Amino acid sequence: MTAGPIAVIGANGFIGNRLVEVLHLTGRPVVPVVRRASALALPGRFDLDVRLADARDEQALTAALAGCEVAVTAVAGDTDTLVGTVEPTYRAADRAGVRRLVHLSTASVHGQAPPPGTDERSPLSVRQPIAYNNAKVRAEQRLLECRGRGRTEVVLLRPGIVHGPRSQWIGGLADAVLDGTAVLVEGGRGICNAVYVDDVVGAVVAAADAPGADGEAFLVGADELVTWRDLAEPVCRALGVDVDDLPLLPFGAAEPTSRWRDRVAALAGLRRHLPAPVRAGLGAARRAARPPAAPAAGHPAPRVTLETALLHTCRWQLPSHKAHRMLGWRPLVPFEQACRHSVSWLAFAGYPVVGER
Amino acid sequence: MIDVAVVGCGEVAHRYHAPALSVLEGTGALRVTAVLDPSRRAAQRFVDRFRAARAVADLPALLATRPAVVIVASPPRFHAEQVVAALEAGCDVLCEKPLATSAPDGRRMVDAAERTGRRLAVGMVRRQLPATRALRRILRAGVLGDIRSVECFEGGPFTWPVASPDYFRPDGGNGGVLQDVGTHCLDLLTWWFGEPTSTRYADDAMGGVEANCELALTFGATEAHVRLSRDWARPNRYVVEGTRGRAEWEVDEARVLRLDLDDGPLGDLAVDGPDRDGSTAVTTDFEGAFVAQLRAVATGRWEQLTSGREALPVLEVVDRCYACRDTMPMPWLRPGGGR
Repeated sequence: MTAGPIAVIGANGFIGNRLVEVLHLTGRPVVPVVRRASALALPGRFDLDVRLADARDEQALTAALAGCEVAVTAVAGDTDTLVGTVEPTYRAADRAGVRRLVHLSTASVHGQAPPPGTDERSPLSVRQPIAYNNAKVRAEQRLLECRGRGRTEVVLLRPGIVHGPRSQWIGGLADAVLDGTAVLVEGGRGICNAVYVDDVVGAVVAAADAPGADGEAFLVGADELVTWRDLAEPVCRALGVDVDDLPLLPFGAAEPTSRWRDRVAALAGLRRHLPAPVRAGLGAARRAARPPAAPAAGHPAPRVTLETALLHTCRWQLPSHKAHRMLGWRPLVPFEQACRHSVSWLAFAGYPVVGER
Repeated sequence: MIDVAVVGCGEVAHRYHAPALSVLEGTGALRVTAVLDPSRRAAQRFVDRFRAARAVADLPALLATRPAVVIVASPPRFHAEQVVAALEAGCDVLCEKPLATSAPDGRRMVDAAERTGRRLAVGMVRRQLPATRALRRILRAGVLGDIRSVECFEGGPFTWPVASPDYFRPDGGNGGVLQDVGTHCLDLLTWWFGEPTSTRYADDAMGGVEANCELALTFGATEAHVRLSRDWARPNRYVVEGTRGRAEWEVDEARVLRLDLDDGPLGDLAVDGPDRDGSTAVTTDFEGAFVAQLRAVATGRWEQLTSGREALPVLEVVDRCYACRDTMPMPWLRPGGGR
């Protein structure tokens, strides 16, 4: 097991913060690394050796990683940040003598609605309709290129929909439920590819040490099959809302922006890879790419982005067999328990949870 | 025209005091003559902005310029020493909040003001907002009936551009969200309702400083629940419920209160104009509150500001909270569950 400190680059984000919490509370030495001091509000709850460095600044990051055995990249940001931080981060880790870099990628490198049969061996595209996916693919590619020129090992983790306390999939959904903008596309029957944040942390810890994992990518998901309705239901219930009262929209209702026709065209090119409901929705969208009727005064319109529409219509549960086999990792938190934790956190965060305060 | 010196040229001084000082310097009410900050860059920003200002090396050098008023906007752990020195040098002092990092330090500062006969005020700028002043009058007039409950949520992800990680050090003297945002919140509550008769407090600090905290306060028969966060945003809102109606104030909203009375909702109520005695300049925004505060200083109307003595009860509440702190329930925190 890793004995030396584990640096968490991006320690103020959702997953980075949880990594710091779990590592510290389980007695593992952890070094939070953030870009600016104002990002230390959450790591600052503990008395830790915190370090400042921009992940684009190789020199500063090299100093920040000094003495760390493993580094985890949990950097969030726009697409330029996601790609532009990879090389400086790798070079800094290499110069600092970090043994292994665990890179948090995403299952979305395979798309929000990957075709059946998708696993880590499936080819990745940088011409997906969602810019975030392309950036994460490029980041993975650059990191593997860097690996070829350095000594620091790299492991890529591709978690699916990471939920739990402080997740946008929980807090953001609660906000949307409360302001009336939450929706389920196609009834939310699509597969969510959910994974609880603590299980992602477990995968990171396993990836820090597992032999033979260098240069490999691993999908990280729950064993249970969770739909989007399943994920929304406990949040709605906690807020006193019946999940069946959420607006149900068709795939074709997704975001009629100025780029809509371009996106529909891009999707049309990928048509044969899309699940059947998406293909059906695409036809409807091409026929009726028009803005929705104006909402009633005082009520924001439910909004469906293309990303949401694709996610909610996913028909494939991404397998985590490779992570089970090579990392020795298994998800440990049952979905029901994970949801209880998330609801506890909603109450903590000040949401009007029914039955609390 | 009075001469003003500034101790601490960091973000709060740069963002709020400097524009207000510019406005009043433009009217001829004051001039900035000396500034002090360990960061040469921070001090230089003031020198560049104020023609008569010069940067000095230390506090004795600043006080040797004999300013009439010293604005202390340094990190809170330096307030006590700097304020007492300024008072003893014969200056009046406007100190940024919190007045001090402990009630004993605050009392020492107030004693110094009374001993020297100088004036000491604390920058509780929210008292300058027409909306908070109007709510105070509404409460005092009994418009809402007997007050049953007060709910306050304030905060969101922390974005204030602090200069160093030391800001979050448990031994750094800055405290956490309670001492920071909580000082504003507690000042308003004690201004509206008087000193609390009991306090319960919990936060999420685990060896460091808290990012979240929760207070239950009683003001006579009134229960107040305060939730502060540097972590996650909820609507920043104060809600006062009485037997005859309720009032809502959005944090830092200068001029608007929502007032719903049992005999019919009034809805959003724009609060405009000065107090009945004309004592308060109209403030249309948070930045304007700093101008109003400085105008009171420049015109010698210190009674319009929060005096050091008035600030002591909040320091005492904060001390009591930290002394009897409990840990907020966080069942998800320990891997595998539990508290």
